[in-house]
Amino acid sequence: MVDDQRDVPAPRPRLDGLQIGRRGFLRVIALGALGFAPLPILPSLIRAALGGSVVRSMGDAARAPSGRIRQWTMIIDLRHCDGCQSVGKPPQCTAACIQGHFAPEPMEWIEVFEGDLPGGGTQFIPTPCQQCQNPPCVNVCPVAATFSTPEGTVLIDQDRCIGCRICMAACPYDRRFFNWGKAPVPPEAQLARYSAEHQVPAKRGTVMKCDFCPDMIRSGTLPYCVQGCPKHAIYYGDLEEDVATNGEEVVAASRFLSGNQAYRLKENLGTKPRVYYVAGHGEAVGRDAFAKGRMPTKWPWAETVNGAKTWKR
Amino acid sequence: MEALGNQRSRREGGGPLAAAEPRASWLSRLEHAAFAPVTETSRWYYLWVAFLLLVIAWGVYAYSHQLREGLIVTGMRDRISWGLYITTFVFFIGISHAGTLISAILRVSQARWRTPITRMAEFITVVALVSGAIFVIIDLGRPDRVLNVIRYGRWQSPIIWDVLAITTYLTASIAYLFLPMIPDLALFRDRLAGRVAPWRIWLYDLLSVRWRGTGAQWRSMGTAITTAMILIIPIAVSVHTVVSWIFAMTLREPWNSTIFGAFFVAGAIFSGIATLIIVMAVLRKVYHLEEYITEKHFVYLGYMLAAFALIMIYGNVSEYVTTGYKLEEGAEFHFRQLFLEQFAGFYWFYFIGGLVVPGLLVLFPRTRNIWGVVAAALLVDVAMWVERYFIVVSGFRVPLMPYEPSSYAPTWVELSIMVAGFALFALLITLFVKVFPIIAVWEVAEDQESIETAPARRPLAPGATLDPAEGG
Amino acid sequence: MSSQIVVKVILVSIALGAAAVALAVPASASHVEAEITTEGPAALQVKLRSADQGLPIANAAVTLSADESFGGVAGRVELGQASTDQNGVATVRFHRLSAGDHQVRIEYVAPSETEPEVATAFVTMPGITSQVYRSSAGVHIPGLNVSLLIALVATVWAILLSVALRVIAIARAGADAGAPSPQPPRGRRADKSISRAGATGGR
Repeated sequence: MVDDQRDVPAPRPRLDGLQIGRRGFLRVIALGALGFAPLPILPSLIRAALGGSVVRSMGDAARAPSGRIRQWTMIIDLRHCDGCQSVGKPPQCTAACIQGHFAPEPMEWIEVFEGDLPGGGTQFIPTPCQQCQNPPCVNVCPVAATFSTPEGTVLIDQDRCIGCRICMAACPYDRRFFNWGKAPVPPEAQLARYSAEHQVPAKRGTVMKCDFCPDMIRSGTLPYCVQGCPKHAIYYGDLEEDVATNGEEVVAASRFLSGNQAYRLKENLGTKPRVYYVAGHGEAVGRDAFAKGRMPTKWPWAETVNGAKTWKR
Repeated sequence: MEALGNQRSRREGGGPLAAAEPRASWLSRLEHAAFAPVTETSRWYYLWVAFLLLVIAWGVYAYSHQLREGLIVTGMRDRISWGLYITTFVFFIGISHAGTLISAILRVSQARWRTPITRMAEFITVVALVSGAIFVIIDLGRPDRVLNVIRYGRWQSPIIWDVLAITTYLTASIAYLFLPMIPDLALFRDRLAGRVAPWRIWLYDLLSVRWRGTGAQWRSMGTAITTAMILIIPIAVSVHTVVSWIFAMTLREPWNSTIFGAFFVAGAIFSGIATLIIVMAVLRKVYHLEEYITEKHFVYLGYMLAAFALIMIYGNVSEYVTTGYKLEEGAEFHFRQLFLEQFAGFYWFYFIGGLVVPGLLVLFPRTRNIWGVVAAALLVDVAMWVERYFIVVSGFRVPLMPYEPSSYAPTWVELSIMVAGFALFALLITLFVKVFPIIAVWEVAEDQESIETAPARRPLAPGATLDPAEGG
Repeated sequence: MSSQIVVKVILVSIALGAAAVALAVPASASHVEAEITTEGPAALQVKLRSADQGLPIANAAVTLSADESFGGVAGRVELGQASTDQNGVATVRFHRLSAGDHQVRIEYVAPSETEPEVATAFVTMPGITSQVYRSSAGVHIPGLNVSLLIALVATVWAILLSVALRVIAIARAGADAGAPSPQPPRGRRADKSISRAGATGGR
């Protein structure tokens, strides 16, 4: 092994006055480095030790008269959805949502896809955020900017979002949208107070999506898409109280779902969405499955605002 | 690039010391090889640095444009929301495994031939990690909120695992670069006084932490190096595993695979070896290190390159045969775009040019020389960047709902910033070479001495078995 | 034939064992007598008896629906269907009904009739106090929690700390040895062999 021979030092040039200072300097450097070394984990260590929860309150949870917390759900009856072909307009659920939230172009928070049916026909599938109970987006967010609420919905805090877009990679339904550029702010929204339940005005560099209109349902009105649908194909309901409505009639949600063999999108992925679909192709409102095509979506509010910046999906 | 008095040795094969040459002159040549880059600066050096600074300045301008206008200036959009930045990030983190492999794994297995190249491998690691980490921040939509990651970090997020793993790996790599460099820094401190600027002597003095070569100091350093070298291997494996899990923790069809972790780690070591070969070849040429970095080193690294090419081929086969046999939803679209249509050029260049051809170059004795191995390494590095690119972009392109697939085309902003990132990588290495010893002088000397003291035991030909040394 | 029907609603509360409350409301005319009770918060029981003799009416199809309002829309929600057994009792089970007063509509077809007849009654549904759905994000695997990750990360950084302490030890050992002298590069072995030989080769 190594022996202990110590060499007799020969004189070397000294930087005068710094001999002691160098030792102390070294100590300071080393201790400082040690102190800063655990910095990446220290605040999280403290926070984890003190306990924290993923769900953050935006105010009180919405409750039914019985006192139980609401569990929002949507049931989309595809037997009544014809992509607004019979109305001769772009899908009105999307249009109402865009106008109501000043959704920047080209975001379609509820988007009407045209899917293929066996046999060659097509069906229209209005797809809002599925408000999953095992949400991949919430699971991957590094800063908890997107979070689950006690009502079962998923919201985004655009004041915290760092724009890393891993949630967009994780969502299997393509329901999250990024503010690539600065969306214009319409005059009506200039004085709007931003909150995660009312995503106006949009913030550049953050993610947005359908939020089930929590601000509307708190005041007892139905979401924009539910109100906007001319065929009343979208039902909005509360699974806890087992009731849903499409603006025209009220149904018992569980009975409506079971009796019509409702299904969910991509069930096998295990995301447990809160949006249910009743199979159909608009036959109840007179659509033939082979009458393909719908009109493209427009963003009328953006056309009247200065500095409208838009981008492709 | 002139270097004074460094003639090519007649023993260019790097074999054992001939009895005729005294150790003193061999040592002084080694020292000179270590000092020359630091003490002499040629015109070309300044031109090269100026060129790199220009490229980086252009990249900074492009990034300032992106900060002003937002990410809309890139080609990324909602459907394909990651592109060049994340590709280059993953690529650089992959390269950083050069150091771990050569330094740590070969040190653990006490492979003798590693000694001249450990220093380069270790600083490639540090520089690559720094360059890679920058790209994640560049990709953020709100870089002004990057501290939210520390303030509000969620342990369950793959990005936080990334942050933890990369900071840990960076710290460990800096320690692992610094520790074996201490005796060489002490050498610089002692021998370069008067030959370089005083601030450098002050720096060497500071960083060599009063190294005298005493037994106690050797013992401390030995313990520290051993600890670091054993610790850094699992850290490095975890780093690229969690980087791959940014993709593998999503439900997208091409990424929803369990082998991503192992596959990415293998790919990282693969590209790390290739980068090391390239940097080695450049520095060897520029600083006339032919005596210490010999064809044997290139051939050994070439063997490792070929071995990892086989592992990568196995990984590809494993992934695509199992997915292709079943062709679940999305898999058929992905196979079509990857093997036949939009990304076919990328994929087949990667597979043939990046895996098969380098393997063949090493396999055939005619090409198993420095030129062949460097060519293989260049192909591998380009192909590995291409692989990260098509993994990211084609993964996003598979439609999740019934809509038309989009396409992605990077803009000048992304390309400028990416090129500036590579320039930063080159610049940091260039500056490092100017300040710090690029050869682990004491390790090479120790290796040489163990050859001297036990010549009977030591076989002479390259490619022979390696003799474990006392104290590694 | 028409006569007055008395529809009795008897409420039995659950869990807390509160007193039963009965509400009797005159119903629309029919020839049978229907009695409706709540069998817990998710079931209503209807007993049909003939008005004149009070005999139970069996095998009558009974459909219950209740009024509900939600989101500003008021409507009628079908609760379910059942047939009366030989005692004239039909139990209609449904999923849930919101707490509070509801007007229940009983639609039944008497065996001797062909037209359905309707009776209405008011029911006060008890509130379920326990939440049926709980919202929590993500997957929870017992034992796999952040403490594990914290412990792992802390261990790794503690080891790195020990490495940093070694550097301090080197510096300290150097200070003890005094000022340095110019030395050639040599490994530890060279050190040993030179000191053994007592020579200063390599200087």
